[in-house]
Amino acid sequence: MISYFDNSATTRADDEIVEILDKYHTEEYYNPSARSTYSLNVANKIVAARESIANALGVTAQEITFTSGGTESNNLGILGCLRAKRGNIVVTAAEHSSVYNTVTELGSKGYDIRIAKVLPDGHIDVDDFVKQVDADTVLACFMHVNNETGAINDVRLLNELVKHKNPQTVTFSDGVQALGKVPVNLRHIGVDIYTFSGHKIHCSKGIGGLYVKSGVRIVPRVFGGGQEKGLRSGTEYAGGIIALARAVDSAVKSAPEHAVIYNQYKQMLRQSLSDIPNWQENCTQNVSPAIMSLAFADIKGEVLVYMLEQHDIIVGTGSACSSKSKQSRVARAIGLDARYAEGLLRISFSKYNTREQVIQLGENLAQCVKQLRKTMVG
Amino acid sequence: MKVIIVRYSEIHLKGNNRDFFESALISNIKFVLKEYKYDFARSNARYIIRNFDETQIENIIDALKNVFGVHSLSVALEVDSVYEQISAAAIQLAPASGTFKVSTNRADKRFPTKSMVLSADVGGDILERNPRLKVDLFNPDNTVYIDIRENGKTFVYTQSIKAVNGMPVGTGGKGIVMLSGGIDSPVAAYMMAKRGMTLRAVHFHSFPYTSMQAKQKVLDLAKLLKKYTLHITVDVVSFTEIQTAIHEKCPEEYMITIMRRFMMRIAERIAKNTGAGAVITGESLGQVASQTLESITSTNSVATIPVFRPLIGFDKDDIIEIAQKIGTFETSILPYEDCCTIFLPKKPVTKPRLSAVEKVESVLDVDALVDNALGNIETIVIE
Repeated sequence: MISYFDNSATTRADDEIVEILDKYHTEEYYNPSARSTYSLNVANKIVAARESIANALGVTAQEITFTSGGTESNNLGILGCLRAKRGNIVVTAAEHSSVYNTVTELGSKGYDIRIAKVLPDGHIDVDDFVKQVDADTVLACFMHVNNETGAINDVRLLNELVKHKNPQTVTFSDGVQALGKVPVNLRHIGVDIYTFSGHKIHCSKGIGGLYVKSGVRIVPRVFGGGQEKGLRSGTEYAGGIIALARAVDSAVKSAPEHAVIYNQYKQMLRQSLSDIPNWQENCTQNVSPAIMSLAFADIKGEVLVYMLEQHDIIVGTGSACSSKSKQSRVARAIGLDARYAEGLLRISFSKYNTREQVIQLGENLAQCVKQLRKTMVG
Repeated sequence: MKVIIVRYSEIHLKGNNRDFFESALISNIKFVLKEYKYDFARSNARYIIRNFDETQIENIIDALKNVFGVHSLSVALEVDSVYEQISAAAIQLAPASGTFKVSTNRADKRFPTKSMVLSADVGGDILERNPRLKVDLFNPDNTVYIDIRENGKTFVYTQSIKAVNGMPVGTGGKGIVMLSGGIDSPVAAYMMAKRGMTLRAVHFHSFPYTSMQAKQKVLDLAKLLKKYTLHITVDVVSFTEIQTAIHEKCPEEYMITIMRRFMMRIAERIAKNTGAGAVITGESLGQVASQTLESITSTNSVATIPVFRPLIGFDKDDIIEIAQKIGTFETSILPYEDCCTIFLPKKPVTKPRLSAVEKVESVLDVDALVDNALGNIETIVIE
């Protein structure tokens, strides 16, 4: 039995999600845009799903658009809201690659890209961020929960300060690691665009979406049959959308209860590592209960991952989405000490983890760190 | 009829053992074309591929282009050596615009028209059909080649596609290449295969400290190399016990030097066990601490067979250029830890004295460690 602690990379889909997907693949497989009554039934289910998700986020159904996931949502939100090919974009150094690389790519298209600092625990340096915003800022991107350290940013405050300085600036927040983990009320937060993904909350890969505040104009990147109000053409992934509504509902409702349990898990792990010297928890204040980011001195996190795998335990190093590049951009951004920079380990929880698994993880992690420090030249 | 002309490289310089080189080349060509149906014929200093599925021509050319020993290829029209057919083929292949010339080679002296005259006549026919074209004998945009062979057949073609050159794999002996997963070693392998060597690879794996992905990466690289080496087998050697022993008993700064001596010993033993006569490494002088003259001296001193280092005088940029050309670069830069990076000491010795190395190594039971590693090999034939 595998103990899976890399839930920020992806999660196991719930059985009921698989059942829904199965149903819409084999029974209710009708194209929701076609003319039959069967199609209409599917279309109505999509309407209900959209409403359900909008309710969970505190917004209206018209403001929700479905896409294939976080990366597409981030691309559509960022590229879709830009009009004039001038001005500046403020982004943080710790954004997910699908935001960071999309924005830096815009640097070659005439925009001035301003990269705001991140504090050592992964939180956005709010003062530095707001300082970079001026009359020419067309877009400001600040993620809600950092995918590597778990830092929860005060996106309501950031939005307010940015809008105060320049009401014309479009505010964008990547909520992929936030939805279902921390409270998300978009009316309250106030951002213009907010993105989310299904497979981080026990839904399937291939479904996600974004919120675009009513009145904020966004243009499509994909053209075709005009689905999703013309914003994202392509036959709707009905099963995915309906399953996503179920997953969002379940994740949002159970989040407070899970937060308590995950915080206990974190405490158990701190206990297990208490007699190990030279490690640190990268973010302890205003942090997602689901993510525990650790750094061990003189050890390569990647090697720890392989060793834990020998005990059927799966953890992450940094963000799996940028695992094709060796050094973590976020590790650099938070200014980790050189001794710790390669020893990053990300433990991320889900409802499928048990106390026994956490105990086993703690014991094996402590043992692997000791063994590696003995075996490896640091 | 459309045919492919395959020209070979320096083999034609060989005297009495030319047959040895040619038969290796022919067998390699047939190996890379084993998926296709075609007729193969030897001609004077070239081979002719006929009767293939013309929809597969790009794939066939791609396969042939990478066979060491092939110098160049042309897709030609083969016609009877009569003026009307030659002229018609030339008109068919002539460019649509720009300047051109016609160049004739008359191997068959029985053909009544002399080369110069035939070129001029056929050039006239082409011009007559397409007045937009202009003749330029000295610097033409395009050349239409007419090659009149002794068998009553003529090839007409316009382009010569450069192939990899080199010597046929199988004519240069057998070598064991140390394949790390980095950028350099696949290039070293390519270069020795280009000189006709048959290759077998050895990879050192530090399970469980290195991942299955790191091993997979090396197997992926071997698969990419197979396009050139035709056959390749990878011996994956578990290196963890040796690394742990060195770490426990030797000073940290000698870690890499002693590791490399063990790798060399193991590679040489594999060479001897598999009938290979050389070890190949991707070392480039001064690139890293283990590739200084002193470090190479330390590593080399445990070898008794030749060690080929085809990249020794190459800059990293040059190596990367070849890696990109042969298609291994993208795989090589995947960021998995390998056995050399996980045990990297902070300050490796850059100029180890051989006597000092031998002394620090003397605390290890070298023979037992090597024997153990050799007993623990996973051999993977790349399909």
